[in-house]
Amino acid sequence: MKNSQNEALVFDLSGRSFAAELRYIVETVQALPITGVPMLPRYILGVSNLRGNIIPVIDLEDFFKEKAGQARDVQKEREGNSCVIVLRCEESIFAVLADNVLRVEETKKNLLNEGAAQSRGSGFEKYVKASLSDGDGVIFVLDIAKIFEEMTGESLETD
Amino acid sequence: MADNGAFNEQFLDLFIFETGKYLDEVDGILLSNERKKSFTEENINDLFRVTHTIKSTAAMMGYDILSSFSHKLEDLFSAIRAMGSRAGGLDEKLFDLLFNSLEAMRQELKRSPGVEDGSESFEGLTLEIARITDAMSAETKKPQNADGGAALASLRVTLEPGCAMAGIRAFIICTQLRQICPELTSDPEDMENRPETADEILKNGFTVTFPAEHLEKMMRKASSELYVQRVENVERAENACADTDAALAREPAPSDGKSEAQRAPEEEKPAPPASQPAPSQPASPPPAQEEPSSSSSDVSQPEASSDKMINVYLSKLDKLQDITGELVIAESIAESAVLSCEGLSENAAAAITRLKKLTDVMRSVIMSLRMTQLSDLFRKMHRVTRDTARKLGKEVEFEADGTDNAADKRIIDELSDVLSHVVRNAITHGIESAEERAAMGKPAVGHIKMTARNTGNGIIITIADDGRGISLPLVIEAARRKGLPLKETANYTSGEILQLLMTSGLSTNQSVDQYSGRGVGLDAVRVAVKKLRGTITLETEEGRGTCFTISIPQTLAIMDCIKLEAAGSLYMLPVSDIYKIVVPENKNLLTLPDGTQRLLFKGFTIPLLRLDLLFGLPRGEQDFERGIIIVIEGEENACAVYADRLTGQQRAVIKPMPRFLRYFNTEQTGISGCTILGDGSISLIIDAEAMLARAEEMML
Repeated sequence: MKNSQNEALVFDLSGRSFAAELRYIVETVQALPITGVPMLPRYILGVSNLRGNIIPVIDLEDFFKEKAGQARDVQKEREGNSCVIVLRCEESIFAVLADNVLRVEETKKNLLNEGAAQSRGSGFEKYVKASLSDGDGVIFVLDIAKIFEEMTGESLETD
Repeated sequence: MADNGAFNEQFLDLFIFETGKYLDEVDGILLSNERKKSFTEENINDLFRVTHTIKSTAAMMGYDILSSFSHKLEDLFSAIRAMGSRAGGLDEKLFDLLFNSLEAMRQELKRSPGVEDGSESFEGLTLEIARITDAMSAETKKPQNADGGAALASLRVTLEPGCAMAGIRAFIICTQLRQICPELTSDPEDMENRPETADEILKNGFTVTFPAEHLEKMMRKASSELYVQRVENVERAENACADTDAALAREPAPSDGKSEAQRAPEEEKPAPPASQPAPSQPASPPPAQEEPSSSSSDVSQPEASSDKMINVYLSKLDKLQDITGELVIAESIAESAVLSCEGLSENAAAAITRLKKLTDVMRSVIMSLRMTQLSDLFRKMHRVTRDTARKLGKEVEFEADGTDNAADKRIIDELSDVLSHVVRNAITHGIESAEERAAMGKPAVGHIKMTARNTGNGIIITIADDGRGISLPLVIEAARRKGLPLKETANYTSGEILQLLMTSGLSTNQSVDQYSGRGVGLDAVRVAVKKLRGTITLETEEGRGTCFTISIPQTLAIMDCIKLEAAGSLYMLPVSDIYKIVVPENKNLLTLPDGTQRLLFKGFTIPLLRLDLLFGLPRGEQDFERGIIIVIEGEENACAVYADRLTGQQRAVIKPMPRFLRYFNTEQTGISGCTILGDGSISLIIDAEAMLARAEEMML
């Protein structure tokens, strides 16, 4: 428990490894059927029924793309998304899709880069809090609070 | 120490809740006694008890201002009590002062403990109370009743017959009692050294005298001592034998002991908070009113016995209700799964039937848990009546009927504002001045009658006044001046008048204030009632009065809905929102140059909203005539909603949309909530109000 501050859940999404700090994570579950909700940003796929709780489901990939001004693949295959990670931020519960949940990793170990997120790049780099080396690859630790703010803050302003 | 914090917070919640209840109780007592301008002895004792409790618990919770203010009130009540029968001539000012004090205390409760910034609102009240208290004390000329003076109380302690060494025993008891209060004196004095007093003590008992503040504690302590047969509160001076009934049994049941002790008089000085019951102590019910006038006693009827009741956090009930909703759904899933099995055993079928029955019962019990009596609501309205009438210098009496009906807690909370509005309006604009009433041959005192009755699936509340009613021609004239569309004929039904009245703009028209001020806020009332899925209608007769009828469903959580399919998605629409279901015909469809569509319906053209387009779904390719149209009617407009298919009707457990989505204004997009279907999937509930708003936009 004590170390959970420094631990993150590593997951795969579209061929990259990401991580979300454990303090944001409520649980991970198998992918659930999603009911679309009209008039929402495209990256909010809809709502799912998690044991009677209604939870919004977000496609981070779409979110990154939208923020980078990229078009979304209209006919994107969603077969890869096998699980859902339920997060809690500012009393709000929401879930993000993942291809695969891998393991829990110490964020202080194998640290490559920490601190300011890179502003360059094609989307997700803006929301990376730190990166860890993972043998031959890199794990990007996501700044969940920033993603949350960006999603909710933006929509508050534009509406 | 986070636990400790949560613990304190719970206590604070409880304190605020209970103090609120106590203040309500005082409100009720004041309201029922205001007219005759005096208190019965029982009433004043209750007032005293309540303020005393507030004082000590407030001190304990750190509400120092509240505590010291309650102390002042306590002094005042004590002075009133001391005047006894002479206190008949209490004046209106006193009641005003008390009502204002209650209000100030309620405000203070909303602040955090220890925050001092509210103190100024108490200063004026405190001074005024002190002035009246002093005046009364001077009048009674009883030294022990002087403000904060050393009032004394006495107890007669009788020992068990045959108790050996009665003198010594009495001395030991006195020593024990001195631990509470060192100033205690006993009669006979010096008993341990004078064996000759022992016989007398054994025969008649002995008396201890001490400052009255310790009375309750002393009583308890003395009754718990060994060899004590009984403890009596000796009322000093003239009515010395009045209280013999208050004798306590040797081993009193705790609750008896408490209530007796509390009813015991003579408690002028504050007791230390520790001597008071903890805030978790349930409020003892207010005593039944002796007063014959049924109109006001209805409002302050005692509630059910307090030791059979517990307080529960509403949030827990909400949660429980949610879970039950889920359980009902899970049960129906299990049922269909089991019943579809091949070779189903009879046992399994019976078990499922039984399960279904049990969940049904459970659901109705849980719904009933959330039901709260309307009596608090009615008392609040009584208070609003009183305050408004007083402010306007009118005399209005309030009659209540059906206060024992119940409704969902949330509905009652929301109704409170709505009804206040209607009541205030009735007094301000409906009820005439006494002279005007006399001229019309009406009784000088105005009358407001509020009734509630249960209709099985809802509750109907009426508020009737006997005022001047609403003048039809004047409303129409005002509406015309406002440029509202009007019918040719003057044949307006009361419903239509209401609609006109509730159109904002008309209501704020100053030039027609003498009657249409009635419209002030009525649109807000309409919206609030609508939000509760209720309806409001009015009947009025010029010169005779107006009656508002508000009809509200008893619970909000479950609604009958129709299921609509559009572009493969399933949506729900509450049955109560449907005006008519229409089969689409091409000849009734108009497509305007801008692409929007209209439906010809009963000679009107109304906007047609296609659910698929509205919700950004792929447009269905099917023939228009194969779909279905639902006409929704609002107060001022109507619209038609087009879906591909109507797939049935279902009772739905309504859930709000997730908190996260509130950042995205889902409510404005036409979704009011969602429900979980039998197969576990989610269906969204269409918000009829949003549909109407969308239609309005289309017409612009």
